[in-house]
Amino acid sequence: MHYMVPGAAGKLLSQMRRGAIEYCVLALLQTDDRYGFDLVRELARTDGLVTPEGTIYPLLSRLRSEGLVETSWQESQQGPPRRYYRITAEGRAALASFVEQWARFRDTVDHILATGGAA
Amino acid sequence: MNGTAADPVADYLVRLERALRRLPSPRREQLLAEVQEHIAESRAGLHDPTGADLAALLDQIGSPEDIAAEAIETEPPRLRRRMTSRARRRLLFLLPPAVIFVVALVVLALLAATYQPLAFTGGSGGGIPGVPGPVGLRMLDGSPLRIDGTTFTGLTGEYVPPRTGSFPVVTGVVNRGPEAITIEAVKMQGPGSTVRVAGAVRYWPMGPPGTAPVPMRHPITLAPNSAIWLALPLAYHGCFSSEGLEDVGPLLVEVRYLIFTHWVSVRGQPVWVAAYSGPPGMTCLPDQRIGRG
Repeated sequence: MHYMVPGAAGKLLSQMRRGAIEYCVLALLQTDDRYGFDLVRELARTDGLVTPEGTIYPLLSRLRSEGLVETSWQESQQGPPRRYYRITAEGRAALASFVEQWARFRDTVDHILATGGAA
Repeated sequence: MNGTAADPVADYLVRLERALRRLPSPRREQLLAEVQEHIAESRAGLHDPTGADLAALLDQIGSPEDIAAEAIETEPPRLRRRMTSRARRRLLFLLPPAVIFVVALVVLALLAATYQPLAFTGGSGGGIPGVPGPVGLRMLDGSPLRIDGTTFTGLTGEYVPPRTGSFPVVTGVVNRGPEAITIEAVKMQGPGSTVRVAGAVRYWPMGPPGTAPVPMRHPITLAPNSAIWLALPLAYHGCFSSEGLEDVGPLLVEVRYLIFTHWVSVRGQPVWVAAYSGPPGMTCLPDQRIGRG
């Protein structure tokens, strides 16, 4: 009999996180612009999404180079100006597509896990 | 706490910059700036942080190596390929042999394309075995040659006087090279204005006398050191002047070696014919005269 070991579970979580996190970032930017630290802390509050925190910045960099987000500097009352991220129209389209596919994927997986594939 | 060598944040940023060195410069600088901003924000929430506080803060951000690995992993594929140093080293390792191979291939192709082992080995003029020889053929050894009141001196080879029928120019060729070659075609560099090619090329092995010639219908493969006779029939166009002579020129043989073909000039002894000069003084052969039915 095969048991999933903790290392394998961690790897699985890492792979799932890698596939979903950029859309979580886009989702967090849907209503408000956010600066990097704020985004990271928001994601870190959700168990397992950002570990460690610094790895979110390469992702943000890629989203920007792909035109899914854009940045601007805004003054801060707490200290130096902050770099704010804003979702673009392309980013919203990519997020909408992901939401649709994710719902279908999630429902399929949930159904199989719950019923063992029975109709 | 400031950014001295003992400052864990300064050490961390140095390590991060080193770990990101494989990234394109603009992206590396941007990532460094963003992580610095993150650290500044995190520090702002700490009141007079101790070394342990800073260590915990940096631990929460993650190791520079993890961030660099993530950055490389999320690079666009084209840039990631470019950054793969192992692939680059492999390319640098393979490049010189590849260049040498290509250069060698080009040199070999050039050598093969210009391979010219074919040489003259005797003959010119004369006749074809089993076929009556040309009438009036005169061998020239430099002695004066007098034709219709005009004297030519210093000519060697042979002179073929005007005639209505064809006459063969026979040339012996030998393969002097170590590889077999194939003869694809034969022509004369001349004939100029006076004579023309009047039939198919014939060839026969240079060996026992009386060997019957065969028309050159198929490419002839010539083994190393083997020789053959090549006979090209020529004929006067019809009009000429005996006041001048012209050499029909060398035999041109199209040789193929491997996949390469080129023309080789084989120079035998000169074959002289009456030259065309146009009126006045032009003579036309009876069966070639203009207006004759």
